[in-house]
Amino acid sequence: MKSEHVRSVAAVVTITAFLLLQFLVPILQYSSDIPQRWGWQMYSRTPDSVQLYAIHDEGNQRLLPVNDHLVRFRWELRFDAELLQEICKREGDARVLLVIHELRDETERFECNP
Amino acid sequence: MQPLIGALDAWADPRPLAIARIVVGIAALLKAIDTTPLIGVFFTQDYVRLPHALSSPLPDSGLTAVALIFLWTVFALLFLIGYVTPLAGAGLCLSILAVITFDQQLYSNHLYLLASVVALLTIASSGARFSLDAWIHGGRPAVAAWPVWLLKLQLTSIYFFAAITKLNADFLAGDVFRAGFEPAVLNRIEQLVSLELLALAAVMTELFLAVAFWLPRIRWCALVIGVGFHAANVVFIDHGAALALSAFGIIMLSVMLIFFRDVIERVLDGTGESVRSAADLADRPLLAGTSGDH
Repeated sequence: MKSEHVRSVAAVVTITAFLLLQFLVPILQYSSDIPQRWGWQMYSRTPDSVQLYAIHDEGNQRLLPVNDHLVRFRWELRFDAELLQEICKREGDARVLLVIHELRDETERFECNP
Repeated sequence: MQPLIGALDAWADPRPLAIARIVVGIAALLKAIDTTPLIGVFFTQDYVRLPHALSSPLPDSGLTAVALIFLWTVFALLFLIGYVTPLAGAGLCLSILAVITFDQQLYSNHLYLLASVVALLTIASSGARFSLDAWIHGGRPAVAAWPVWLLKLQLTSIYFFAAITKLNADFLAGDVFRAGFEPAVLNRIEQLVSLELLALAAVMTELFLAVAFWLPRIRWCALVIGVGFHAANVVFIDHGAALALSAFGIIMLSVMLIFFRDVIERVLDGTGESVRSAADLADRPLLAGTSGDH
């Protein structure tokens, strides 16, 4: 009888966890304007296609191939401050990164923190 | 509360689940082949690290890559043949989750789906039939029905959210197809149909699949459209993703098959593979009168 009770509780916990993960999480992710993980948003929006340039202390500008820094550019990823700062670190002497969003036709300027 | 407890007590035929387990095992091996180069390159070469909000406890080294690929492959094989199935299922699920939670670049919706389906098939005792476990220890005539419901809901969740998240200007203008299709394929498609219309058709198809498998009268139609939909994805979307999209289609097919319990039972019973054979029921006489409702 006790093991029956434990089984029932385990089943209810599993069902609840499943419903939260498979329905509540995607609902919470739904309103975002970029694809989100854990929300079944496959191929729902266009990827953030960018050209990346590093500007060094001397003022010269160099194209940075995105594939040199990211093993795979997924559609949920965005060139936000966290990612750009990581790229700055790897570029060493880069002072500024220029991010040209090709689809939106916008250019963003990111100052690298030393 | 009583109906809920009653639902938890319902039993199901394990054979459709066993077939789904075998199909998912094949998909897990295909995904291992597809993902191994990415895991290998990520862990052995110098790329940006973008951990999730909760960092993985695994060390960032080549040894981790080898261990993950090895465990994934071994557990997938064991899951496929149904040997120590609960352990194999848990190990396979954890290996896949370890990959997708290590870094944002390693996340994949297909792998998340695979982990979820493997977990549900493990909970559902899918090794109870058509498995080495059943051959060694004897098969079980019935398993709990509630995980079967969750597997069916999994299919609905994926198609439903995949459809409604496409209801945005980008997708409906056909921009995602422009970015995802091979240029030659794109040209040919645009001569036949506008990308806007194709985008709308994709959304409608996914919405249809989310609902149709629950309706017996149109279930076969859903299967044909579902298989066609995934085949089209493999043929038309970026050819570099053909293996990944094939594995995704196979995972979804495994869940679609669970909706065809009646057909599977009829076919297997017709070949003498009866779930309520005397040998089966000898082990579990108390289950003889239970419901086979899914």
